[in-house]
Amino acid sequence: MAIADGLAINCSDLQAVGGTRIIALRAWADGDVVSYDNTTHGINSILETASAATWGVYESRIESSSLTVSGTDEGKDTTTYECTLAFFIPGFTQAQFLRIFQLDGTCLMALVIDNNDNTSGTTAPSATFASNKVIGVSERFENQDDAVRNQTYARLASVEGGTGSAFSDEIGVTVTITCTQYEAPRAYEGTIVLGATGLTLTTAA
Amino acid sequence: MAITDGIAVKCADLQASGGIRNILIRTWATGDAVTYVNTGTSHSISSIVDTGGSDATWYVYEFKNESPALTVAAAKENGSTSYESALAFMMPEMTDVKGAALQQLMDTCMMVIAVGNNGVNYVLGVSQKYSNEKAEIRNQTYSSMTGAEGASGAAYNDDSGWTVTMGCKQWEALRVFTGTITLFPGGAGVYTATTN
Repeated sequence: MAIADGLAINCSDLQAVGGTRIIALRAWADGDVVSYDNTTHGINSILETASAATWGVYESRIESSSLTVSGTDEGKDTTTYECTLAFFIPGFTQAQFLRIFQLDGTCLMALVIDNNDNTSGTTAPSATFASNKVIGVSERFENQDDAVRNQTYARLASVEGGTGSAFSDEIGVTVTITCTQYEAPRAYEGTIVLGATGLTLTTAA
Repeated sequence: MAITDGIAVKCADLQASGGIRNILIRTWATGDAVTYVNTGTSHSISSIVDTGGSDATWYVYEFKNESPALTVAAAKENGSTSYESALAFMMPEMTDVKGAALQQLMDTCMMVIAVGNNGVNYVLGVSQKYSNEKAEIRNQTYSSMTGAEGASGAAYNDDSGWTVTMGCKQWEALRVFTGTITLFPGGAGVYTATTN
């Protein structure tokens, strides 16, 4: 791909804030259809059997979650992107372990919405979810017949934590979701709707 | 957010008294509803009500006069500005009643209103920035008791009592409560207040 343009850094880029706002996870399912946009390096839609796809929203302690991306090029025409999403769930409860257990042995996709849909001086939550990244959904080396057979999915990599020992210790677990893919994470450009409870969201075109 | 106006300092501002007049504390509860006001001239909360929708009940913590102080320290790192707030007040005399009051502050997520002697109602632990978008009860920028120091004193004229600090870290400047506060609606001896 030829270089067609440069890259500007504006004040808004310099004022960007860290951390994540929403972490949504979903298991790849038969009938999933993903529409990629290679002009913007985005994803136009993720649908499940032609309808809006439902995701689970995993809340975490504020300022505890992060997405890191490490790209490595070994001189071939392929660059490997190791994506790691880690978030801390305080509590160490049965309900939380049930949710974590459901991630076990599952081919996942993760949607990470960060805190940059509003400027830092704005306090009301943004009505948009445009500042996001998707891991575990990539077009590079996808299965050309059926999206569900894409082998560049995200997966549960580790669950670390515990009760602590001192009364003032942290109790909870850090959940890590990883994905090895061969293109940089894309942004979801379709419609994202947060459910009424805040614990689900849907993606559509 | 772009700058849209400057700020004036008037005689009344210069005459404003320091210190805190009333301290109200309550625990966040399921069904709480907060109305935020975000305009070019107001960074405030116009209403805090509980699940009934008509008002919210607070508890009034009295203190030794001229002992409480509210401090706010903001720090900016990259694009994020955090505000560390601390409200310290002294409950004179270390009694079992005061100890029981401390016990109740230990493990709950709280909101605090500190009414200044200038008539302004400062709110700690209720902020819109990074609040939960669907359930206010899951707001993680609440206030908690961050410190309590008790002292019997040694000399006869030393103070005996507890100095309690209510702290809060949030990512917006403290808001002012502009709704109605009713102190002691239950009459004498019932240390409550309501907001609506």
